Amino acid sequence: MRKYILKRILLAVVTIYVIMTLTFFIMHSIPGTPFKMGNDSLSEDTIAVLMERYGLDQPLYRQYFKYIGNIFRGDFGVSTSNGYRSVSDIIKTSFPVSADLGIRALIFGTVAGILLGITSALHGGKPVDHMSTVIAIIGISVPSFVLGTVLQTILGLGLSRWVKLIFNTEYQLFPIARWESFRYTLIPSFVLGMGTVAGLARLMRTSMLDVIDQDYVKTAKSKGISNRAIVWKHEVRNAMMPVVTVLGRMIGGVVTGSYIIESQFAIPGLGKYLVNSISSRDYTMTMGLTVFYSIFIVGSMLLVDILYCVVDPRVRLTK
Amino acid sequence: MAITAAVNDKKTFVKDFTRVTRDIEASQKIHRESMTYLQGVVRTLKRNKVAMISLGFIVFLLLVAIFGPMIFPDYEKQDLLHTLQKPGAGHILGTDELGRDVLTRLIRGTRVSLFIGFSAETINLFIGIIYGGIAGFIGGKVDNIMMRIVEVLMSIPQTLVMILMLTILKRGVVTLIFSLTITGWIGLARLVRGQVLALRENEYVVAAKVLGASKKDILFGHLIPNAVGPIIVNYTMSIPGAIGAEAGLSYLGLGISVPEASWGNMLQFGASQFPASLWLFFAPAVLFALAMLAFNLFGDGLRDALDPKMRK
Repeated sequence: MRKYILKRILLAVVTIYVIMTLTFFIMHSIPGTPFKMGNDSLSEDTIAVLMERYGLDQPLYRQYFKYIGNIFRGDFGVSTSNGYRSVSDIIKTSFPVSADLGIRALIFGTVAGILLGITSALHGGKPVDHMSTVIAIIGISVPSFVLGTVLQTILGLGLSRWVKLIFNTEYQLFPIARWESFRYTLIPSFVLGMGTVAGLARLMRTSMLDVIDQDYVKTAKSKGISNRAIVWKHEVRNAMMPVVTVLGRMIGGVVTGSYIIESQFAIPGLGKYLVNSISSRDYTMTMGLTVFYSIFIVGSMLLVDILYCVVDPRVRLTK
Repeated sequence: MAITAAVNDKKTFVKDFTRVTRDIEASQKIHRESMTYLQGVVRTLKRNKVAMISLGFIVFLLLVAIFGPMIFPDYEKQDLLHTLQKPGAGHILGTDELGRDVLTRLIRGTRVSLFIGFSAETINLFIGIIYGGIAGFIGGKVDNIMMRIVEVLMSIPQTLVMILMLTILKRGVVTLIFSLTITGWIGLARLVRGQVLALRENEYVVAAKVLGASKKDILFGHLIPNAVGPIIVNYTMSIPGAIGAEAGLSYLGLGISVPEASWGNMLQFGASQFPASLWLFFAPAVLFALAMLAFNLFGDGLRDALDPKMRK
């Protein structure tokens, strides 16, 4: 097992290194300097001073080593679109918000997805099953900004108009922007979690259908164990294994994949900065966030893999 | 009682039955037509109504994508006197903020979106088959190295790759397809490798080797054709993923930009006008959702049809 874990850690380190290197060279393949993007008001001298100030006049290999060294010290450079605030400072203040949203979505998505998968497997071929298949496919295929818009309009604006008519207050049950109290988190978490619901429901369904045919389930039935105990103790527990495997990938995807929802609901998370940095061509910010996101995703996958290997003895044997 | 009586009286027993002469030809006649694997798959698929309706819809979309823009070519034509018109007689699906006909744009968008989906995934298909096939077939050290590379690439989130590529390269259909293929082939390569690893121990591969078939012939003539089922299913299911990715990028302003039409940018614009101009949102949203459903359900049906265990 130790060999397996060591191998995984080594692979993760290599992956992160490759991503860092790629981003660096992609960044350098952009023609021009970071200071001569839209405003040509800067004189040649000013640009020369700025280039020296940020070490951009040095040869490429030295810049490269400095960049790698700085990342190890947690320094991603400065963001040109946010008043030259340092990127790591922005990450520090806004990543917790993204993580908060991601965790809420993940909890909702996992619980709802697994339950939906179980229900549809237990009612295989009946209308409930077809319904949940349709829900799952819609969840996969409808882009989150479309779902978000519909919910914002119907639950947010529509409902508050009725509330205002009937109770004559400005109270919003589902506010459509910002990130303040629990009420504010409901719609964004739902929308973000929908993809997880869909993916897990389908996976859980196939996995359950596989388990239901197994001999040990028949044995349990013939022993006279109650239906409920068979479902929860024998079927669900065994069917969960493939679900746990993909969870590592999903954690990374959900926490980092919220940029659309964040900018749509004006949530001050990291994703909003990513979207803004793209539209304002703030390359250091885009690159810094890419590297940060990759480190986070690789790290969470590594963590889940190791945990999985510790928890499930079968994985240890096969590896 | 009647039975015992009949058994006791042997003569009556025999009299009740007549001997049938054995007709060897008739007894060996095969009544059910023999069926190849492919015929069986097609039969199972034809019985699956959902899959057939989905296939019909996909064919319809393809026809619209190919011939639609020839019949309705004016997707860029603006009519500033008739902006944001509701669906009616002149414009069946209404007009957008610059007076462009929504139906015409939707037809054009079908072509662009399907083109992105199909070409990106077809490129991924080829890269995946070649990479996965070689890794699985050669095996050993080569396989080890090739799979480590895949694992590294797999950890890079696809959306981030796409965002990076589209920020630094010229935005457009070609860049979009290119960025979809950078990491998009990995799933297929892994699938093909797994299939090839499982298949290459079969007797027919040994037979081909003994008969002196070259490695290339064994890989592309024997192994890949036998793995074609799961590959096609994967291909069908990944097309909606590519189309959806374009829609997601449109929200960031990185997708196909106007005046060119795509499902993604029509959805994005429709969502921004929701609920004031409902038709701008519902026209692309309904078509998009139906297309996604069709690809996924057809893929499901195809998987069931290709699975011998599901045969009846």
